[in-house]
Amino acid sequence: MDTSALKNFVLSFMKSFNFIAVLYISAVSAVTIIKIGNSGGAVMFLKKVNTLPPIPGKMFFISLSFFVLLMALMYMHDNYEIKHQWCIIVLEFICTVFVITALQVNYNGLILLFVAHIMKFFEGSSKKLLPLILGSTFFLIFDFNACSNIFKITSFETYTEYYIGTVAAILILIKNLFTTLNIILFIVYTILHLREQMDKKDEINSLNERLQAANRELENYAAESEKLAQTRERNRLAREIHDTLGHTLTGIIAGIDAATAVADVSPEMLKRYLSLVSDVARQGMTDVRRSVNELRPDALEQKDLLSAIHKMISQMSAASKVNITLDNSAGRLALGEDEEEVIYRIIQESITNSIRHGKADTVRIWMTREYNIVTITIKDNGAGAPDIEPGFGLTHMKERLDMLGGKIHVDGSDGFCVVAEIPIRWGTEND
Amino acid sequence: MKKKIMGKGFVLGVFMTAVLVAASALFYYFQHKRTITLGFFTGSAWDVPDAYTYQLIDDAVEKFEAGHPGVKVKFVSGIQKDDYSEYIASALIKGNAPDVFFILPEDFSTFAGTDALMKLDGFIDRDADYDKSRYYNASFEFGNISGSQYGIPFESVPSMMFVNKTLLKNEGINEIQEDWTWEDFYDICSRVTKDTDGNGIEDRFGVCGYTWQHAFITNGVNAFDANGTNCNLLSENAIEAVDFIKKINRLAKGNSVTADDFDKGNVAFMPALLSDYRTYKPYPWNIKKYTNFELDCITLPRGEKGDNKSTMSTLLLAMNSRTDNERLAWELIKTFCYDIEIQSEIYTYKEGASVLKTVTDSMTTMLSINQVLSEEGGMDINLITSIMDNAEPDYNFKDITLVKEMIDAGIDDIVKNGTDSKIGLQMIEKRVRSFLNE
Repeated sequence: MDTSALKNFVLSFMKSFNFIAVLYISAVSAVTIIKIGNSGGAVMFLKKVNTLPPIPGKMFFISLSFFVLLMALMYMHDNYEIKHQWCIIVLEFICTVFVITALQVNYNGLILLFVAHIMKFFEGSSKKLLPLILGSTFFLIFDFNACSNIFKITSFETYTEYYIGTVAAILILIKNLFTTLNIILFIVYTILHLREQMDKKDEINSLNERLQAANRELENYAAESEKLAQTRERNRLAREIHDTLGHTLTGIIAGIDAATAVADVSPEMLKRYLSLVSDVARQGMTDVRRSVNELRPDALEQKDLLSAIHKMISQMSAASKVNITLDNSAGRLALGEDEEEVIYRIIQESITNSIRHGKADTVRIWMTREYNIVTITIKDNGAGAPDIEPGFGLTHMKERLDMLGGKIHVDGSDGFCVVAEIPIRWGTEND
Repeated sequence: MKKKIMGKGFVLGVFMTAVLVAASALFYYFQHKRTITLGFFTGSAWDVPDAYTYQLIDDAVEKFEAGHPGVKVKFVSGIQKDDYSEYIASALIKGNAPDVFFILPEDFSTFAGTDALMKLDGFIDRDADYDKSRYYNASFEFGNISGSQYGIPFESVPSMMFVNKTLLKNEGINEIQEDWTWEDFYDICSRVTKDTDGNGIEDRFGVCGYTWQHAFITNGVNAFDANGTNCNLLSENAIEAVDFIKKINRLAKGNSVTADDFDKGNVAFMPALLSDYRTYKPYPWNIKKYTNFELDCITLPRGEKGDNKSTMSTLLLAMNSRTDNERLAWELIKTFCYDIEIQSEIYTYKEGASVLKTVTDSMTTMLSINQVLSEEGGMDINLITSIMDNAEPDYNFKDITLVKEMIDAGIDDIVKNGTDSKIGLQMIEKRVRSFLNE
């Protein structure tokens, strides 16, 4: 039997046990009161106490019916979805207090049952000590000796004084046995509860370790696959160069050799060979362009710059829940592929930085143009960076811009702001 | 989790059950409202023969039911006085005690001390028709414990002094003043104590049954505070009182004088209760008990520091603290204790005195008392009213019976052994205090 099942068994046992205890105390008290009333000892009894004992039948009925009600509430609490858990806990507590009051605080073990019952509803929460603290407080408050100083109540022992020595002693012994055994049951329950909690913690820890191991493996795998991709890409580039440039150049060399051989013999032939070389070179040019095209970003390959940027923005804001806006007052630009790529990469890199390092939730992008200078400003509301250490991303951007004769300026004092200026080549047709 | 949402049927079922329970409770409540239960005993509270208990109860119940149409007073009849305390106590702990019941003086502190009795101050204050100043103070105060009124007086009995008028006349003593003193008392006693048949042993005595309680009340001794938490027996008044008891006991020269001797006509004085006087003075009891002398009564003699006062014992009516017919219960109590007609019947059917001043003072009462009493010389109604006006309520704190027994025993020792009164009282006080503080 595992801890959890054992714990539930102890709780169920505690419930039955407390039922018998309540039944015992109320029945013995009620029967004794009736016996005192019938035996001619009523006046003597009243001289000994400072309050009337509860009406026997009423006490029996009230204590048992509130006990049954308490059990029903606990059953509902365990088995049904309850919207306002606090309400039912308060109701359970009220029932507990009613039973205890009906028994004139002669048995307060019900408090422990109540605490044991609600303990499981607090586990894992920050208030998990609350039931224990409340429980021990009420256990101390609902103590016969404490209460008898404030309220007029009659002790079980006073009732049993009616019986002759041994019977009274046995009756009190049984009552004390109930009280003590109930406390032991409660302690066992609490230990089981704590053990269950600890078991759960262990399980969580081991799961965590496994997760971390898997994470490390994944990282290694990612690094490997990056290397693999690099190698594959190199091989592809080599193949491309071999297939296109190599092939073309071989053709051109062969053609020029042939042209050289016939140059003195037949100008007609020379022209024909040169025309062939030209064809081969042109074909080579086409191949090179196709190769370069294959290396461009997917979006840029298929769309124009603005659509590609919009697509990227919507993808990134969807993925990261960051609000990203683009404000373009530069109009449609006719840019070279290299220029498009630099702009695309700068925006992509900056947004990535804002999300990853700045933890920003809003990123605004402006694109403006003045004469032949396109200015791109990317500003976020994130943590910023007072001291900027140029990492790989920033250096890379700078290098790309240098190639186009542009400038980059970064400021991390209020959020993070990247301003890039790119001179564009007029009249360069995107052929 | 296997949790389910509670079904509508379940909620409806609970609601229906609740409505049913509430309806039946209401029905029961209104039925119950129409009956009120009364607890009383047959016979006299003062241990004298009594034949007319039912007459008064029947009249009061009839009057109450006439004033409250549809309401029925239920009672169990035939409970003897000796069984009554246990009957009420048993009913109280079993939870089926009557709504309104009579309380014997000796049970009052016990029942009031267990919250069995309803506090009546609220009813008294709210009831504009009800004026507590119409009662004899000592009667009303007896129902008050620690400032709360737990009982309303029904019938009171003051203590007084029986006088063997014939014996005194033979000694040439004709008239005793109402404000007579211990000195007068001692003088007469010493004059009458004699050996009439000349056998060397005294056979005629001054007094029997004169106790510390009579001496204390007539010398202004306040032995206890109202709550019975403190005891003070070392006042000068108390020491004087004990000295006087010793002195008057010495007259008997060690002979034990009993009530029997008084009945035979051999004793001049005997403290007794009004109920004894009202029972044994008229026919037929006078020919059964006091055959050979004329019985008279007078106030108790006063000490140097006191007054001709009496203690007054009172039969109370109380309300069960668990009654749910408070209003009717209060009305029923009022019928018994505040209705002039019913209270007047005390002089016809009972042995004590009415607790209402107007009733005892009124001419009709005087007539009826005189009718009853005049057969043998008559009784001065003014004496009764003056005794009752001056009376003090008996102590009513819990354990007073036991405390009285402790003091009885202690004083007996002092008298028998001739101990110094102060030293003797010191010992008694110590014992009583430690008992009260337990």
